[in-house]
Amino acid sequence: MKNQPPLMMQKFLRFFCDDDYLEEIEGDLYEEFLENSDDYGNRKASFIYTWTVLRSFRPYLIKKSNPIPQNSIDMIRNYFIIAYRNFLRHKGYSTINLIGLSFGMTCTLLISLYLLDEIRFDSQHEKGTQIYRVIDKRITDNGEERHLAEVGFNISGESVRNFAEVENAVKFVNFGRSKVMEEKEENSSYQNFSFVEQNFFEVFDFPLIQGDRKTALVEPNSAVITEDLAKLLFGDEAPMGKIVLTDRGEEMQFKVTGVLENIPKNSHLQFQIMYSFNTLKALPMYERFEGKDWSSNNFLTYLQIKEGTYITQLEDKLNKLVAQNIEAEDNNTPTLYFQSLKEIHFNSSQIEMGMNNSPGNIWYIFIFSGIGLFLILIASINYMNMATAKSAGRAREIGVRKVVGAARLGLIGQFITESLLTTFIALVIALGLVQVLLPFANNFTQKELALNLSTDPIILIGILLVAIMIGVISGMYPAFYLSSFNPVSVLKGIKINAGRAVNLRRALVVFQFTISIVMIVATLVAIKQMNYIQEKPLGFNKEHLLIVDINTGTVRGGYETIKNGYLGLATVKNVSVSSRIPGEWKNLARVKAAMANESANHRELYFIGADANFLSTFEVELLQGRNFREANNSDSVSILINESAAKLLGLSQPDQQELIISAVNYGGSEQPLNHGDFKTRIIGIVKDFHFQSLHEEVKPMVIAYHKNPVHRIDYFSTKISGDNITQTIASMEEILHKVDPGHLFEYHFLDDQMALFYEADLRRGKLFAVAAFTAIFIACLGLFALASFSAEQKMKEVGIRKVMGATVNQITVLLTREFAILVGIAFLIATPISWFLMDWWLSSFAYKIQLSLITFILGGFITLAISIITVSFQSIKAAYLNPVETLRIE
Amino acid sequence: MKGTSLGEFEEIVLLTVGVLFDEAYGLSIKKEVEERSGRSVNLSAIHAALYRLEEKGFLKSKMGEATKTRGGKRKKYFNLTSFGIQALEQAKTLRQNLWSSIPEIVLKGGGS
Repeated sequence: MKNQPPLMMQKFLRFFCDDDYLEEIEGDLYEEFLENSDDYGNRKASFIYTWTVLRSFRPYLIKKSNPIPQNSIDMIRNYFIIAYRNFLRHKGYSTINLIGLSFGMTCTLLISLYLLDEIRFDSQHEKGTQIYRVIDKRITDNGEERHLAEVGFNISGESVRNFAEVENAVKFVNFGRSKVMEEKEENSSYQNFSFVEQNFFEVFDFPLIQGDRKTALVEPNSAVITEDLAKLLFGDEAPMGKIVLTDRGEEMQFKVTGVLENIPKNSHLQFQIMYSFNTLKALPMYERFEGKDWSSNNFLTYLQIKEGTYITQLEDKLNKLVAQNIEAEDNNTPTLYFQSLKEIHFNSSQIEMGMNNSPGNIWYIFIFSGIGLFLILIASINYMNMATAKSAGRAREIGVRKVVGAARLGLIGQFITESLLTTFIALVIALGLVQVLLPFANNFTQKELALNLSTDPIILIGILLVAIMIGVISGMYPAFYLSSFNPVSVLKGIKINAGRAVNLRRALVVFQFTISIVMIVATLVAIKQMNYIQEKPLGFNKEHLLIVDINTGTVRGGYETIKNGYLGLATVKNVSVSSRIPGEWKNLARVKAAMANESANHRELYFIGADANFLSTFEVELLQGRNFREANNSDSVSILINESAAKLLGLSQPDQQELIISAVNYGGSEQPLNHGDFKTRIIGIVKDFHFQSLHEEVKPMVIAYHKNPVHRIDYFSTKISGDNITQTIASMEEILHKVDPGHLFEYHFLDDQMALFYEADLRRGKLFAVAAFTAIFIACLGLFALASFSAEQKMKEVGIRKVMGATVNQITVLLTREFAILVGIAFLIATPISWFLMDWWLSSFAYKIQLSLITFILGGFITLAISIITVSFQSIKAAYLNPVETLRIE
Repeated sequence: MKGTSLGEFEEIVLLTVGVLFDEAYGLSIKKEVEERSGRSVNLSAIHAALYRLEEKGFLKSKMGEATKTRGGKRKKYFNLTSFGIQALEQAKTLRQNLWSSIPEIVLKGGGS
């Protein structure tokens, strides 16, 4: 044939034109085209052809959508029946699909609940979008930028007075912890000592069960307590009007004026008890603040700002106001800025003193969303692969349906119905599993997750939408693929050319295993890093160290009696008193200090006050110089410094050099020392030890004698032997109570305490391990199904090969090889991805392992091993079949 | 009565089908119309008219033989139905009546 009309136009015509007219029109057009091309040449003929086709694109010629069958309900019922029969016919495959989908959905549901809870952090308040926290940004002498959530007294009140945009403001102040008791002093607990302004409940919506929101915190010496604390203190008695006592050296009495519903865990503000701010007015210190204090760091301040206010403008106005009111010589002027309530949870890592005990990390939100999505994808891929792999079995059904008049859309609908059905059965199973697993998940994540479908419509709608999405995604490809079969060839028994489907199936398997390998490698790296952290020499020995808190002046005064008492115990090997300890969980003091010979050059150093036993108790190595001498108290101005401090100060030898400490910072603002500068002499240099978590590098530190004007002692650290620990603790408590009977005996094991540094990392690591396990489990389920399918298909081939003399080994290898190659490709893709990811994760540690190829190979090897075991299970079974059995069937 | 009335183009197509008798299919009709009227017509317009006329019952069709020049596609031949002939006659009568009703003077080119 010499000339052909434009192919695209032919296709277009065939695409839209109704079959009733197509043949005639196409024929006429073709004939005309041939004549035209003889008469006018090919180009013009093509043009006329194209134009005519376009002109033919008229409503009456366009394919009629197949009329909706009148018995559509019967059809849908039929879809269900067929789906049910199919399920029964292929029980094994269907179960695998179902298990995979329900596992994937369970994990994803749990992850979603977790994410939802994180995203809804601090969303309890109606005026939440208007609430801002005031943050103080200042530059330290070291040039470091610090952000503090505590600001001056006047900021809240003066903001409301001066700026119309500020509708309300509330502040509160924390004084550490205090012991809380009821009147008989039988029940007690340690709680934050926080004084809260009376309008707290105007700004925040925490519900009060009893008491008046407006007046509960007005009277001096009144307190609002939570249900939990009320129960602990008063049991079943009504708490309102009762007296609570607090002990902070001196006893204070408060009347309970309100009972607060327990504050949900997804709030950054956490109170068990709030004392009325007005109580402070009676204290002498109050005068120092009221009306005068613009720049201290003591008061957590929250502003309620009118909607639509330009926040940066308001910040500028406030900063101007503060600058006007601060005395000129105070050159440490802070810059204040506002942080919106919803940002506090995710965006506070650099902010100190903010009451944010469980800060969120937006990156982990992304990562875990990704994991949830991938798990579902892996499960959906299983469904897709199984559906297309088994398509040969259903080809005839499709052929018959088409012959009888099924439209393609109807068939697509049928297959999507089937996948939706599977998805919804899996969803029901998953919902059940989630209910069962929730308590464990809550325990694990330290959250209060709940699956309340009735009270939380968002969850219900979300779940339904996701289920439909999964059903459609996993059903879509099989539906289009299966419904495209040509009925004539299918019914004639011609084998469908499945090349494209097979390649897609392989690609999907590679995708599944890429994700699985990335997750396994990530888990391995995380485990290695966690082990590294736990086993890294810290520069001191954290084992068998029992730390006892000093909470009262009586105990502090009688420390020598207690120390000697402890040393008298057979199981106690060493005792030290110190202001802070390595692995400290409270704020470490920092001091501003300068060498006497360069007094203008201030440095910031961490500070611990300790006795002579400190080095021996913690097994810290003394590099140069000498330790403190306890005997004659002559060392009260001596200090030890660590290697980093020596480097910072440029010292190589401890030689009684004078270091002048001029100010201290206990975690709030820097303040001058009460009794003037503390002039110290350096007598020794100790080896660096990790007094902070390994996320941080070792910072310069000063260890001063415990009798110093900077920081008094707060802890006994005792080195005990491993035997009879309960007995030792009991004896220690007894010795302490001889000095102060009312002192609550609080103790920690240092290694447990230090493990808390990495608790979040560990928890995430475990979560990751669970997700990785689930991923590879689901992926292997799919692989198992595919392998058994492929073994089934090759039954004859295997039979013939065996007859020809192939060994079981050869056949097993033959059947396994294909899948092993796929996993191998997945490994090649996964390695760079996981390398990149883990490198990023490790960068959050100051001390970290080197990524080694071994880890990646191990991860790949584990995956390969698991998948080969999975596959060879089927392959070996197939290889052992008697060829007579397989070849006889026809 | 709508449905039996004939448009000008439809009438021409219908007449052409009559003229071509046994050889009336899409392309031949198109060529005949073009030849006789001297204007070029798009094939799709012919098809549209044919299907409309068939729907109205003025035409009937049957599938013919496949030929090589048509890429293996069969022709669809159209024939006038008696209803179609009746419609043509009606249209003709209508015109003749109208013709005969025009005053002589108009045809003579008078008027004013």
